[in-house]
Amino acid sequence: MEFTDDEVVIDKPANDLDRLVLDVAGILEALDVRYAIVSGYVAVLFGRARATEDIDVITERFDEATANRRASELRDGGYWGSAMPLDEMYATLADDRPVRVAEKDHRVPNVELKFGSDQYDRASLENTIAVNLPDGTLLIGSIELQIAYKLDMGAQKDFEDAIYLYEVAEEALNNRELERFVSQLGVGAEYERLKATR
Amino acid sequence: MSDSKRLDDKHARNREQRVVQIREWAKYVRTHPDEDWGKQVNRILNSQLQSARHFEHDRPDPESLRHALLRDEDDSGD
Repeated sequence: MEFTDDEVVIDKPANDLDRLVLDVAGILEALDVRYAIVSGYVAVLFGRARATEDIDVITERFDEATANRRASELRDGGYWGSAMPLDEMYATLADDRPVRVAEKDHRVPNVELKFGSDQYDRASLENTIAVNLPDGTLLIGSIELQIAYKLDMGAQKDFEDAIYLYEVAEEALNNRELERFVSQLGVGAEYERLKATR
Repeated sequence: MSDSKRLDDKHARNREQRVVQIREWAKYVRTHPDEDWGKQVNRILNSQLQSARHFEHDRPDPESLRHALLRDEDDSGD
């Protein structure tokens, strides 16, 4: 694993989650839609060995015509909306609800797609990092924000994801940036707890 | 010592051990070739996904749960 300023190279074989997200992200990119992968899958992508079935993807807002094209591309690619028909993609996203995309007739694994809605979603979209895998490139939200956000979520598995990302990306982390997000999210005590576990 | 205190202590010890394991694994990932740790993670992840797929159709889908909750809220609001 090699880190540069805005890029990470991970030369690992793809698993079923990687293949799903590479395919769905490829369709987003082909339609020129900005996206950022966030939350638990980011830790898994960096090697955290834990079970997960959902891949959270934030996108910039797009119009109904783009949503319809995307739905059509996904159907052609062998996917369906596992919680609602893909035809309802725009209405669902515009209602600030996520759209779950999975291989046809399956519910897991799935990509949970939603429009960016708050300042942290926007920060993820504006500061993406390219992760280069042997089979393609994925865009993830900044690792510093993922750590702070995980600390804010509060569950034990989220705290453990934060610890893992903090450890594995240690040398590449921008500590000033991390502390800025920690302060914005008001998770100073949790951050101190994370550092104290070392 | 009460049973609940003993249980709390046991959970705290388990959490500490998990954190140690997570840190050790992160160190392993940092210091070994990607292909090495990648294969190990993929074995765990792919088998977990296969197992989840065996039961995926027995689960209620999130959208019908949401509708059921909204219906309950409407009913209780009368």
